[in-house]
Amino acid sequence: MRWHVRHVLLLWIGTRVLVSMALAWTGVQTTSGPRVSPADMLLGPGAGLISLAVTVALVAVDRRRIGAPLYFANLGYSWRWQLATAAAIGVIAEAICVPMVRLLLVYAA
Amino acid sequence: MSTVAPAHRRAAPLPRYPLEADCVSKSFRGRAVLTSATLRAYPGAVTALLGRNGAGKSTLLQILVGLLEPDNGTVRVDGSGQLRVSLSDLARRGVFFVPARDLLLPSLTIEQQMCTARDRFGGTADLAQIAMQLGIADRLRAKPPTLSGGERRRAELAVALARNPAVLIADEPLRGITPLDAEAIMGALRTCAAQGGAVIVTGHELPLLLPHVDRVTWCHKGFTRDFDDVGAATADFAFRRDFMPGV
Repeated sequence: MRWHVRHVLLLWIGTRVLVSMALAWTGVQTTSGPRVSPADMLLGPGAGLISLAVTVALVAVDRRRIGAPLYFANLGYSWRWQLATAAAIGVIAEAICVPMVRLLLVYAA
Repeated sequence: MSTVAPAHRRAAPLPRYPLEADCVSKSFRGRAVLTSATLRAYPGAVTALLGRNGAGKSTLLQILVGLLEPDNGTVRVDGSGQLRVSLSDLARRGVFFVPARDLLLPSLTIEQQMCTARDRFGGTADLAQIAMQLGIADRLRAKPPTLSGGERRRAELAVALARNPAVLIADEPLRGITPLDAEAIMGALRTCAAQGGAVIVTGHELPLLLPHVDRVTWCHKGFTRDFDDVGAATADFAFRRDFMPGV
């Protein structure tokens, strides 16, 4: 379980940073006009949703690749459970980490 | 007036196996791999599921543990037929499946994975003894990617045995294993059976497998035949002709 949480968190952080940077760079996501700050990007719901979906997809692909579904299934955890908890971990991380990072960025500015 | 049938006319109760695939069939894209195959887990015995390449051994194992759904036939757990079987449900009932490909997580040590398997269901298996028996006592702190193929195979079985399974199913546990390590693996599987576990193994390494198994299930042309002991299997002309030419 610890491995699962740690792994999902690492994937989510990587995905969240990359998606935020990509959206900021392309200017796709705007919350306060055409010019947006990194803080605005982090707060945007689009980046959060995309990151969550990508994280769960990465977890699924990665698990298939390394055979982890069978490892977890042998411990009584179903495949559905693994993906559902990955999504839940992403939501919780989004709710806790993103406001904190935004505060840091605001203070830094 | 009594309605109870005389004892000699009463039907004998059907034997209950902890896990059983009964008369299952499976086709892939119209090609029948299994026509009517039966595989049972016998408590206290090591059963070898033998057959030529493509005979359907792995398919039968995957049906037995719920990774594949049969086209026809039934999977029974403790005697009761299941509409849908999943490995996670079976695992909670003491089943452990070691697939032919890699099982372990790459980022945890063997010791951590053995502890997880033991503690998840409140087991009391002696991990040091299992590791010693399988010859990986000095590799417990290593992670799977740093192990050789043979060590990884033994580590997978060590994790399975740490669970202290009621039914242990291992798909080709001796593939790529040296004879000495194969002895260690089969010895560990025998210990599991001696403690009441039902063990099913597949493989092609007959000289290494047969001395250590109690029963043989022969998978051939979509059907299976069950032999009560190795002697009965090796004495069978059709088995010898098809599977052990030259023996």
